[in-house]
This record gives sequence, C-alpha cells and structure tokens, in this order.
Amino acid sequence: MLVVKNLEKSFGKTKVLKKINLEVNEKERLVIIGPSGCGKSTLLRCINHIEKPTKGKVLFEGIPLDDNEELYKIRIKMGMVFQQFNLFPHLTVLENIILAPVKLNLLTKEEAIKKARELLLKIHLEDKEANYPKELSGGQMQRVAIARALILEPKLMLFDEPTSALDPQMKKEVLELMEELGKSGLTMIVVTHEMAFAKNFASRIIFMDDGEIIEEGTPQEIFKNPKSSKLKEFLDSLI
Amino acid sequence: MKLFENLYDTLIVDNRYLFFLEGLKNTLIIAFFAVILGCIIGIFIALIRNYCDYSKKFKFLNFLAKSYVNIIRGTPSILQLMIIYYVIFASVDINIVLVGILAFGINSGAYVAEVIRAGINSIDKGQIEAGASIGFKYYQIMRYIILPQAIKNILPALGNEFITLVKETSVGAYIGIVELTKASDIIASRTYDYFFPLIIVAVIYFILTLILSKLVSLMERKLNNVSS
Repeated sequence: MLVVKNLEKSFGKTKVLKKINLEVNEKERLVIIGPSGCGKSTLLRCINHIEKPTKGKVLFEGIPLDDNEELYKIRIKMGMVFQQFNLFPHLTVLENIILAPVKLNLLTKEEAIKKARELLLKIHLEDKEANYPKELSGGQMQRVAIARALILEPKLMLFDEPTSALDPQMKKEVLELMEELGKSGLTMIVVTHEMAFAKNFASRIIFMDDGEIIEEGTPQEIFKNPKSSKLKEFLDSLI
Repeated sequence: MKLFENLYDTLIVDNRYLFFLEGLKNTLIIAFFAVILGCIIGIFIALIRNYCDYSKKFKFLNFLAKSYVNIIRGTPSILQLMIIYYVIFASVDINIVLVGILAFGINSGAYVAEVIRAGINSIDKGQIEAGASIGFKYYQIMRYIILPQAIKNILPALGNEFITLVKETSVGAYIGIVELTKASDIIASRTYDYFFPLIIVAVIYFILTLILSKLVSLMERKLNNVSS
C-alpha cells in the first residue's frame, strides 16, 4: 500500500535521511524505533509530504506523492497524529473533528456531527464535545486528535511520538486506543519511544540510526536477537 | 482680552472656522480611504509573502513584495508623497486629495502587510501541519485555521496603525493639501498668530485619535471575550 523509494532528506548540509527504502502492506502495524535525532520523525513527515523529501519517492497505492492535486486526496486517506496534538484551539472538540469532512465536502454537517459523536463515544469523551481543547487533559487532547483523523476514514495512520508529551497515566489511555485501532485492522506506522508498547503492538519493527534503516524484523527478532551492534547498543541504553 | 481677540480672529473673522472644517473633512477623507487602500494592499502583500514562503514557489514575486515593503519602510513618507505628486503625477491634472489617498494608502499598505504577516507567523507551525494532514489546501488552512487565530493578534496592531495614519496625513500639508495642519497654517498666515490655530488643530487630532484608540481597546476586549 505504501512504498518509499530511495528517500533522502537534507536540512541545509545535514543529511537527515539517507536512501530509505520501505514497503508497508495493508493491516501492518509498523513501529519505528531509534535514538533521538536518528531521523524517524522526519521519515514519517516525509511520508505524507508535510516535509518535502530532497530526493526519492513516496507512492501510496501506486500513486506518487507530488506537489499536485493528488497530494491533497492522498492526505485525506493518510491520517496523522502529532506529538503536540495540534488541535485547533479556536474550535470546540466537536468542531475540531468535523472541520475537515465538512469543509472538504465529504460529508454534510449533520452526517459529520453524527459520525463525530460516534467517534467521541469510542474515545470515551462524549461529554466533552462542547469543550475547547485547553479545557482538556493531554491524553484527552490526543484522543480527540486521533478522532479528528479517523473521521476521514483513513487507510493508513501515521503516529509521530503520540505519547511523548504525556504523563505516564495519560500515556496509557492513548496507547490503549491505538491498540484498539490496530486490532480493528487499520494500517498504522508509529514512531515511539515506548518499547513495551512496541513489543506488544507491532507486527514489524524498524530500527533506525543516523538516517538509515539498520535492522528490521518482528518484535521477537528485534528485542530477543538483535544482530547489529548499533541495535544492541541502543537496547542496552534503555532502562 | 487679547487672548479672546486672537481666538475671535482665528475662528470668526472672514468665517475662518470654515478652513478648519475643510481641513478636518480632508484629513478624514484621506485617512479613511488610505486605510481601506492600505488594507487591500497589505492583505494582498502579506498573503503573497506567506504563500511564497510556505510553498517555496514564485521566488521573484516574493522578492517584489519584499522590496515594496522594504522601500516603503526605508524612506520617509514625506518623500514618497512628493515623489508621487511631483514626479509620477507631474504632468497629470489630478485631484490633490486623491494623491494623498494614494500616497498614504501605498505607504500604509507596507505596514499593514507586516502587521498581518507577524500575526500569521505568531501562530504555531504545528497548526499548519495539522491542517495539511487533514487534506486542506493552503487557502483552506489560512481561512479556517490560521486567520481565525491570527486575527486576535492582528486587529489591535492594525488599530494602532490607523491611529498613526491619521496623524501622518498632516504631512500632506507639504504638497498643499488643505488638511488640518495646512488649515492652521493658512489661518496663522492671515492673523500673524500661531497660538490658537496650532492649539486648535492639536486638540482636534487628539480627539480623533482618542476616539480611535477607544474603539481599538473596545474591539480588543470583544476579541478576548470571544476566545476565552
């Protein structure tokens, strides 16, 4: 469903990504791990072209992402969840969720509200629809951000360190929701530092370091039988 | 008694108060239409610059917009006014008030553009990314996400820009526009007394800007109420 071909990204003279090749199939739950600054977030941001790749290609269902009309249609099918939630502070929870489907003419306002309320039920925030983001806790905000992406019925969801800005207690509620989504068969790519979560959740794990994919495999292979010295070092550095 | 006589000379003799009224009228006309022109130019320039920065396209257009802002901000408004009147419209018979509107509008446009741009830039970049991630195009991100948030920062600064503009129109006296400052000059040249003409226009300017700043702070309070 998703193909990344020879992707490179530089910021000025610094090469952040070096020739990344990657394929993601339907219903996969891919987790990307690696030390801070290894380029894993940048890779995720290049996948939906929020960050423009310097070289290489990203294909979604065979269609290359480029600076054209297709890009916007593809992004609708590719939800993204950010570390800092990025909810729209001037809109209520309900308005945050229905903004995209209504303004993109995908649903009527009534349909969107109905669907948003179903999603709110699913994320256990049905009583918060009239609240503004600043009145919510971090974990609640992140769940709303996930609902905002889900209302567009994405085929692929990208999570960029979704729990890094949260307290341990709130991490749990977000991770549980993500597990639920994974079980429902949604294709997901998750960048995270939560190793316990990665172990249980992932169908495949990629280890990145210094802008390259060093190793990939099942959680079993990655955590029990690391091959490269870099991965061993990384795993040893974790508590 | 002398003071009273001077005041009488300044206002009543030969119906001189009419000069003040004429001056007030022209000051208001120039300020009002220059503000509108400035806003149109400013919004246009700010969006051009922001879109070019965002998409990294149309570099030349961006350069032109940037140059306009830099040139206007880097030269005295009195020179801009004189260049427009004595150079650009030198051989054209044009209403001098219209020249004032054009000159101050073009001048104000650069400042308005910067105010709007600063307002847009004050919004967290994550908002743009979130907008892009839900399939929005640039104009949709601006219209539904960025501008509704930026307007709170933009409007008060814009209000201050208008207050400055009202006072700035006094420069129009230099090319002979009969606005408030010129009116006081005309009267003083007949009565040989500067005291009352200058104090009177000073008071009028002060009242004008006082009303405007009251309006601005009223608007500010309204905006804060909406958001909280």
